Amino acid sequence: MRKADDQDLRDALSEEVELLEPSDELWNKIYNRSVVQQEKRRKPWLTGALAMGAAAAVAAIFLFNGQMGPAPRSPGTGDPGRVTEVAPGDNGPVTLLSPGADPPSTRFAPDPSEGRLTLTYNHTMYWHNGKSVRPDELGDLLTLTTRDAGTPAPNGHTTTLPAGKEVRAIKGADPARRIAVQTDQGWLAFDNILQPLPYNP
Amino acid sequence: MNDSELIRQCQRGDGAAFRRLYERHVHLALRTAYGVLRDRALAEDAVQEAFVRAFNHIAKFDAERSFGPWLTRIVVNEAIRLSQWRTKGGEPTADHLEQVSPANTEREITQSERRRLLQESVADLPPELGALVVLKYFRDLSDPEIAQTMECPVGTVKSRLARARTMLREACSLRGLTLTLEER
Repeated sequence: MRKADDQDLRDALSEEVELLEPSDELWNKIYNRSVVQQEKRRKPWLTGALAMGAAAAVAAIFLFNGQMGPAPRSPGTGDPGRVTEVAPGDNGPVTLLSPGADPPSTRFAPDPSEGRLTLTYNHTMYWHNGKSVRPDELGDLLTLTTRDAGTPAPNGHTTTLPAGKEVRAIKGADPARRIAVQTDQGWLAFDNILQPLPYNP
Repeated sequence: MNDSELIRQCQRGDGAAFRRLYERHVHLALRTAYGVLRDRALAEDAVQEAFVRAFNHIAKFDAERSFGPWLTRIVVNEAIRLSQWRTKGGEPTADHLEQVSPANTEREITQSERRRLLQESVADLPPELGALVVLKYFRDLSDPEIAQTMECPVGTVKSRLARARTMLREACSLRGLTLTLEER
């Protein structure tokens, strides 16, 4: 019989859902965007001190390793839009570091209709230390849920992720304008990605 | 410790209390969001946004009020917003109803097929009506409870649910499924 009733509808809506568990990352994202941000607002001096300390650490790493930040382990070439594979496992979330700067105006504009991810970056420095945030949250980094597909478009402005990649997080912008994108196949580093583009959810 | 006490601690900036509130409510929040979005990643986004909003506004929240319905409203609204955002991205929605292929109504279907057809039909509803169906048939809330949760008159809930049932029957019908729902 091709019939259904209330109970069938209840069963259909409950299916899968009963086994649904929040991901391990979810609380960290919420915590970083709520409690941590509130703490920063309450104690701006602490934010400044942390930023200065982190900036010093970044500078030290830069001087020591010749690159900013620990995000992409595999150095990019600096070619515009070049996509570089990054060693897997370096998938810690990210935290913003914007020493002495206004809230960052970095934008990440997922455009699923075109199957591409557009990254915008304005020299705000980010520091990888364990957090990730949503794209529309200024002052943080992000986790994109868009399943982008496409092919690399190395024009230095718009970068398209290779087909089949799922963007899970982005981290590690630096003065060399490199951004690392975590996908379901590991981290990819994008060099010289610049494009002002508003994020409109 | 009950929710009211945890909320008061949150209002003093206690992150541990917020964690306990999260642990207490996240599962239902996630399942509700998933019911509306049928997409795990988006559902987590909705829940993430809802908890952040809840925390950011908790200072003004009356600790004597029930936290669950308030959070549910934020989750549902966020899920609706994300659903609308997804629609703009071109994913299939109610606009594509006419594209559903006529079903072979002669063949009997299995229980799992029936559920799949129902899930697809709910997904075809406009998100705000789909959310009501989730609150009604998944969360099993009464009309007054839905009205309280969504902060709208009971009459509005009833009329929207009636519209949702009508559209749901039509969506099921397009799939060769006869849906009978009690109007209660």
